[in-house]
Amino acid sequence: MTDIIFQWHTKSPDLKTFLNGILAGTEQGCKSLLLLACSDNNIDITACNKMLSKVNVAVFGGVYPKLIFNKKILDSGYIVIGFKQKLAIHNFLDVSSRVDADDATECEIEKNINHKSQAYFLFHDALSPNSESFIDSLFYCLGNIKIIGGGAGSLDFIPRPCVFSNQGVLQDATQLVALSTPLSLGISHGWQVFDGPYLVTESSKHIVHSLNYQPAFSTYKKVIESASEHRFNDKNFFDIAKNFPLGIHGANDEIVVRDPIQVDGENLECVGNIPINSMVYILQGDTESLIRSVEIATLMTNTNQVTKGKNLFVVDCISRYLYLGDNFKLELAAMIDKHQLPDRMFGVLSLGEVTNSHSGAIKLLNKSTVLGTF
Amino acid sequence: MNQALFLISLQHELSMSIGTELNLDAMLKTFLKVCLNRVHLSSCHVYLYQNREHQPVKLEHSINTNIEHFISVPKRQNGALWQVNPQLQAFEKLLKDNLSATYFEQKIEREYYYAFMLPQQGYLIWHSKHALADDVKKAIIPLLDKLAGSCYASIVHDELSAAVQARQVAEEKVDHQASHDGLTNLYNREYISLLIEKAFIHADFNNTLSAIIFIDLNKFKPINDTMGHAVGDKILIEVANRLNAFSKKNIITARFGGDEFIILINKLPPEQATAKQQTANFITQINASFQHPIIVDDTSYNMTLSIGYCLLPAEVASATDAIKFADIAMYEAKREKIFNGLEYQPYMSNRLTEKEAYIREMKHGLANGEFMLYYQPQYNDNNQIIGAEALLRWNNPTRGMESPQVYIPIAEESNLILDIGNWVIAQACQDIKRIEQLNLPTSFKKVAINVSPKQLIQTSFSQNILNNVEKTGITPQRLNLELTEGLLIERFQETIAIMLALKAQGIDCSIDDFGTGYSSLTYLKRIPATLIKIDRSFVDNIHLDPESTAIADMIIALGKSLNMEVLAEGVETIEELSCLKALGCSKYQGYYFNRPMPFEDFLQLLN
Repeated sequence: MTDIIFQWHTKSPDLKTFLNGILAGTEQGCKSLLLLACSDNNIDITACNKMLSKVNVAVFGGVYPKLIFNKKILDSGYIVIGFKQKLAIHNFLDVSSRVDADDATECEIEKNINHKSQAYFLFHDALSPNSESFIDSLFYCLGNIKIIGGGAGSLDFIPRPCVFSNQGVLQDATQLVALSTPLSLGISHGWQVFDGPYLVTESSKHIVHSLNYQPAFSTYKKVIESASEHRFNDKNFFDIAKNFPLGIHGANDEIVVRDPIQVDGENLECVGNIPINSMVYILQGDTESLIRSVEIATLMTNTNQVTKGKNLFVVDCISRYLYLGDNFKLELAAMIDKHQLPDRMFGVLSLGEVTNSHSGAIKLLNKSTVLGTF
Repeated sequence: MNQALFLISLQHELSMSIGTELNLDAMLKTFLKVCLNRVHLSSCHVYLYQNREHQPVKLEHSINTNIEHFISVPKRQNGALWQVNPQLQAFEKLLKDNLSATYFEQKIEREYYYAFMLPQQGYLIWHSKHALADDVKKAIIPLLDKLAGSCYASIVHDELSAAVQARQVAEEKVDHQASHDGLTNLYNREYISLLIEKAFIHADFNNTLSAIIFIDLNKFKPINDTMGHAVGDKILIEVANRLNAFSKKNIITARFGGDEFIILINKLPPEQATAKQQTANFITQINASFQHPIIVDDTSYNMTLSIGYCLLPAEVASATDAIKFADIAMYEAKREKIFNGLEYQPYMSNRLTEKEAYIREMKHGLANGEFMLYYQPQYNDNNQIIGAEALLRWNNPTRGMESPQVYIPIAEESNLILDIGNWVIAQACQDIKRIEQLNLPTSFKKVAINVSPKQLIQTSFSQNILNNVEKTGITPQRLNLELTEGLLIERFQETIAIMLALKAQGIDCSIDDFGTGYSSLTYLKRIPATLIKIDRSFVDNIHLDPESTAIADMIIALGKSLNMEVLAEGVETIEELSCLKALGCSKYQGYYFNRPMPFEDFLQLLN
């Protein structure tokens, strides 16, 4: 079993306050602590490393743009969740230096991860270029495990240490935490086709160079500007693009969302890979479709529920929050109202979400909501 | 329209992912991952025709093939490998029952399995939680020939890679063998000689010093001879391991041959005093590593080392000299029984030169009749002469009588002992002939000659003796060969065989210097000797030394129990004689009776 015996949060960005929360957790007899922090806390990494090295229980978690604690959004502050059991944690370091399908990565996974565990939390540095390849390797080695996690980091997209561990705050790392309890998952995104399809004629990993043999950004810009009032200038790319993600079309009409976050000349940089020769749509959303999708995710969680979960862990994309604005409270409500009331609810607003797709494969998603109950 | 574009993009992407890797496993893994991602499958598998060694083969190229699981993506389902998954195994059974089908599908426990034939190679299997649309299934069909062809290309590539790798391994092995010693896996003589040459040049150029340390195991040969080569080899391996434990980037260990090892230390400081001190410290560490015995087959062996060293380029003119000088220093250390290493000094070479000159002088002396046999009579209890021991003497024209303690060891080292030994046998036989012509007392039995270890191992040894006996016409029983106890132990089997062969011809042997060689009773019982000679060290002041008394007592008792006679050597005083008599000894030899004398004097004594 994975029993939560302690929960604590603060809106204070102060590291000392954070330490008090950690100490309170250890005093309660917790053997493992999930630590979540807001990126706006501007954590002093040196001080935090020093602090974490002295914590004598297993710690894991990350730094995210925003946090969810019960029905509230935390713009700053920390959450500490204490577990009765010592959870098995493995930190995979230097993820960006690993080549695709790296044998060494697979060996490390084989060697360090217990294949019998069937549920995991995952925390990864969203700005590690190889995160998705690593996730592919994880699925290749472990198969249909249940997993929930999200990309850590901040909205300025500047790489920084962002994964909590007993070795300090890690950068360019992926952390896997084995749970000894079943995990029920619900996922959805609610984005609809706005235009397309387009053939991805040139791409490299997360960067799209051309669509239908035309420069990618020009094509993207032309479609959006011709069908909406949005107009791109030098500074507003993300403000507009957050409303029009790309979607990779798969068999069975399943769409994997890819969030364009930056433009570099004609190149569209997304969170997650877009394979060459894949077929993509430009998507759009509205409040109603997004909220309805969360209701579906909530329903899915209940339907998939193996045991009656008391704890709800939410990984929701930060760009949904940015898109929905004040309406995000409706999304939060959708996670709870139709769900069997959880004892506690905590989570993150992330840069990319990691979970199992409908086929069971572990996927890096964008602009999606992932709910995990255990 | 959209679906058509999707299918084209799907086909294109799948097609582009075929053959991106050369290795079969990697090639299929890449392709299957794309299948999973693009078709949203739950798992993908490839079954291939494989031979008895489970190597994938093309069907038309082999008759004994089975279709077997080759790869799954992902590898596991519910924590277990896919190939043992009951659903997949059930589908595999169907597959094996339908091997001619180009395509078939089956729903198993609400999940969907699709098999696509890879012509001549096997099957691609897709597994999905949802039924796949027909056009998606059809989209893969045009790619199957390409995938099968790519499989075959990868199989050929893998076979070639394996062949190239095997050749590379073989070449590396040959290279390794050329530079390494087969037994210890240390560098061999040729390679260390090369490294020393390089070190010589490097040290000269960089103004540093190197040290050559020459190591020889003490008393290894007796162990090898008595315990066998298998034990000897294990000891050498352990010695090599202990020495090799000191190896670093600048410290290289090699087996020079037999029980000789060389350690080359590079990059020593340019100051000779410091370099010498560091080398001496290193030798101390080496010796410390031999403080613990070497255990082989539950027997422990305390090995000690004779170590010599020299510095290069300071003390030598060439790499060849370096090895030679370190060897000379090692030899000096062994001779002087110095265990903590000895640095080469020019006097050592001078001594060697002198020794070579001495050997030349001995050869000359042997040719010019400067060697002669002296005889020391042997007596019984009744003071009757019962025989004599022939003793070699060299009357050097310039230095006079040389001490046998000087020239015998040098002759032993230089192999000159073989020529001298042959001369002794021939001369002794001639002398015995003359003795036999006298009116000998009945008590007189035998003349003994000493046999060196090097003589004994000559294959012609026995025949040479018999030839001399025959040539001179002496009674074989008049001749007795004295073999040291140590010699008997070292070459037990061969020595016993020689002794038995000579005994059959009437020539007896005796055991010389008994009590110094630690021979066991088991060995002693098997030695066909008729006489044991108590070593002079136990006779000297025997009446005053209870320990010597006890040993002599034990040897006399042993002789009786083994039915061998016992003779005490080196009897010099009446007190010693009385004591030996009291212990039951009945044969003697020593200054108390006679000093060794020229043959003519001995003849007179007999007369």
